[in-house]
Amino acid sequence: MCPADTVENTLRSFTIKAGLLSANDTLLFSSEWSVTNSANNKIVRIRTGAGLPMAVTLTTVVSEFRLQHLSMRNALNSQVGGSGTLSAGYGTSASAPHTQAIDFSADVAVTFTAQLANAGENITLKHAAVILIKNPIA
Amino acid sequence: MSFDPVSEMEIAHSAVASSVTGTLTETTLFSTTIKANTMKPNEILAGQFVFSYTNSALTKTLRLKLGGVTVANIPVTTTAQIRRWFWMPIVSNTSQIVYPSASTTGIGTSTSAFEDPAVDITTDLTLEFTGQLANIAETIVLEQLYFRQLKQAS
Repeated sequence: MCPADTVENTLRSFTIKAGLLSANDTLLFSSEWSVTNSANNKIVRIRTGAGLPMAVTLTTVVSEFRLQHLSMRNALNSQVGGSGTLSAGYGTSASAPHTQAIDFSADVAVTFTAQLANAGENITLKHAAVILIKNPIA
Repeated sequence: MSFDPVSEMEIAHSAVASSVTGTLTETTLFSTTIKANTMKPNEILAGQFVFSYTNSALTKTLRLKLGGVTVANIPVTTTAQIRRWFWMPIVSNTSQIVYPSASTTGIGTSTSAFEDPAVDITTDLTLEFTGQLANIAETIVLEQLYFRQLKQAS
């Protein structure tokens, strides 16, 4: 559960160890969030080192289940995925796909974070998982 | 916390159409048994399924049950098909997390709360799809389903 403040708080973290990924693998981030249903912003994020594959602002909803893919772009230091700002995570969007250049040949921290606009409200990370999808061809 | 590669095992799969028509009784369209202790805490039961049905104003109710507990209860009316996600993290032997039952997507945002079906995974569990009509002249078809068990680092 997010502390009663308005800073970004890490609710769960994993380390993807150097050497685990190959140049055409995909990471799948699963997260399930419960939030206060209000007009105030509740921001849920997934960070991969300095990369930000997901940053969703929730307001008048209760639940958010998100599957966010991040694929290695034939290199360990180049990734692409769907836009990380969509509330649904699927479908059409005016936003560009998410790209980043994090070096997965070294250890990379994956953090699931939450940030309130009103310290009296709540964000709970009910479940988080990082799933590695290996490319069998590479 | 370190991160381990995930492995997955198929739990259920069907691409054989199964339908109900001519009755208002809730009818089983697919059923399989997940043996006791096949799934464990910190794993995920993941799946997707596709139904087609008569496009009309009358409610067609599609259900997924696990161990007799309804984990998806989807009313559909003036559409022709649905493809829905199912994603169930297993918290403990008797506690799970599922997206709100009535969702037509199984993913994204919702104004309903997550649910805990509280099935006991240490016992044999029936994974069952049913369909129920409001008009016997209409039809529900379970077109396809695919479920797998994801093992992950806890």
